[in-house]
Amino acid sequence: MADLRLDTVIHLDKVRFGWAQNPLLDIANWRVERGQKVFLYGPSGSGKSTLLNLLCGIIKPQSGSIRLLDTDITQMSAGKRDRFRAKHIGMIFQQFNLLPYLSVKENINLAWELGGTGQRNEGFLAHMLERLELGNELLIRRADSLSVGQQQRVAVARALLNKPELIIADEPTSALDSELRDQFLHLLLGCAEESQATVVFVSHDKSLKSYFDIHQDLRALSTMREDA
Amino acid sequence: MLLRIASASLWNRRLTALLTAFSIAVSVFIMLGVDHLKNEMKSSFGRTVSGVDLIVGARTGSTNLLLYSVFRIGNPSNNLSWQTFQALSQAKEVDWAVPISLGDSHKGYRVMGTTPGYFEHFKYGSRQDLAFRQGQSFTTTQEVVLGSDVAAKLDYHLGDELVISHGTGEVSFTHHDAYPFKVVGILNATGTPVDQTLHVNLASIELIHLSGGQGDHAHPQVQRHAAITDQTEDHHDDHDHDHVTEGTGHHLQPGSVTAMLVGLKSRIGTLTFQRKVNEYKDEPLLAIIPGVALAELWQMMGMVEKALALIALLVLVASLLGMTTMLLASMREREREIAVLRAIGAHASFVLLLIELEAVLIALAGAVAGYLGLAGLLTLLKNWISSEYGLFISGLPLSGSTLGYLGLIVGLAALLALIPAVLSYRTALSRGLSVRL
Repeated sequence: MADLRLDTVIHLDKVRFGWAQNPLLDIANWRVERGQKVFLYGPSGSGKSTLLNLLCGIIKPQSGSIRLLDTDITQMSAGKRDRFRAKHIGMIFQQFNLLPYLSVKENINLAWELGGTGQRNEGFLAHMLERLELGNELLIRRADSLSVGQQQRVAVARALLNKPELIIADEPTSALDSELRDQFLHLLLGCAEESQATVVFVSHDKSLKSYFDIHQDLRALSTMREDA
Repeated sequence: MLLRIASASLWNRRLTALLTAFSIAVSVFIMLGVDHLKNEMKSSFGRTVSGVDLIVGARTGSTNLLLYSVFRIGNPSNNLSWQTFQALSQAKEVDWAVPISLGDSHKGYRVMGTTPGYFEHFKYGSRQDLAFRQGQSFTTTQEVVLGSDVAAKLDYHLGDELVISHGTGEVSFTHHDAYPFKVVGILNATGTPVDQTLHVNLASIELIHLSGGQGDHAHPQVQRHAAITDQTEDHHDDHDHDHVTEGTGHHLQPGSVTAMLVGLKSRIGTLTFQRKVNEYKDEPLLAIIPGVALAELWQMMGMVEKALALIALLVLVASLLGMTTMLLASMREREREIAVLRAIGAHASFVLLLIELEAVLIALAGAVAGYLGLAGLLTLLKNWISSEYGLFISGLPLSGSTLGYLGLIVGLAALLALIPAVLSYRTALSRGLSVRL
């Protein structure tokens, strides 16, 4: 994997999204290199979710290119983008990362199945659970019977399951108290480092930025309109 | 996996899902029930009379004549004079003629006065004869032959004695107590109104009214007989009872009968003879061909059946709309699920299929429950329905049309579920990972 071309994990070039006269997002150029841990700071309304949806290939920009791992995802079909996302991007939300009515194990199986690789790396899962301080007995429990902290850690395990190159975390700590937040961030970043994943961490909480080596203000990234 | 998610998701909302399935089950129950009853009634109707070429009664509607003469439903508006009966039965085209006289009852079961020839000529089903399970036909005026249900329900055996009441209600205040009948025969079950009937000699009917109603001016039947005889141009005595020779019974001559069943020598002449009867000069008469009248009656029932089917359909639509509402109501909480599924790589159509599958599961559960409920209830109530209403319902078969209905319901459910499914599909496409919290 020493291919030099893959060293740029994210490359956004002249990306515009929204209405022509009044774009929600207008990013001239943005790069994230392999292994970087990027703290993307943005208050609410700064186009965070639009950027996330763009990065994950849920929506397409009106113009410009989004290259992930040197692949232009804006040129892909919707189905291909879904498969690409399952394989290469691990996603962690603020809360409710799991289907509440399924067991933890079923949630994980679902990620494996949709990941499309077909392999179920049970050894890796066991390792991740141990690393994230989650007991095996949690696997058979319903996801919504877990504490929020446990759920977020299961989400990390699931995000890393298919060994994605890119982890996108959308305010994953906002539901945790400060002590758990520290523990969670250490685990997340440690696990990401272990599997050599690049991390883009989106938050409005500036106090977290000390954990990351690159800080980026979303407002500086995008020339935004006030009424967006 | 999709199935597992759908069933887990439904289980998570089991109360609403169950109620929705239940309302679908109710409509399936009604739909299949109406359809089944219709089919069963049709075959039950068709079985009731056979081997009779014409039924002749006083002029009335053909359905009315059929109903009271064959189904023992309703009452005759007019009777047919004995002279006419005799004249017609001696017509050259006629092979046999059997008179019937209705108007009395025993504990809610109709009593029919006739002649022993009835047991010989009346047929049901596909030309099956009436057969005696026990005993034989009546020979005197104090004997009665019971239909199988009458014997079974009232627990009568050969040799038992019973008393006939005036009128056709279950509770009658005029009992012909002075004139008891002895059970001499019990018929085999036929699955027709014959099972619900007590058969006595025609003369007995005259006799009981003679002996039971002393100075009986409040006796409508007798008065009616008198009235009819007055109108006929044949010169009659004013009072019916005068015709009856007391004592022996065999020589009794009734003033009138309710209707007559006629068998012709050749069926080719049926229409000609029917016209001849309808144009009979001495008395206004109506002759009907049972098969034709049954078909007319069935057409009339068809209206009721259509109305019931429409109601069932409306109930179905209402419950399917309820299901759609339930799925729509859950959409908001599902936004998170959709975001999760999308994030781990599910295509938007995965979400669409998931909601479709949930709808199909609910509809299927409802359809199966409705079917089983109806089948179970029919098995339980079969006997009660046949004794109460004289309808002979067989169990619910899993026929092609039944499966067709069930398929239609599941299909409609899938169609209506497209509303929430497409909505969430679009949410999945546009909102994607962002969740309104």
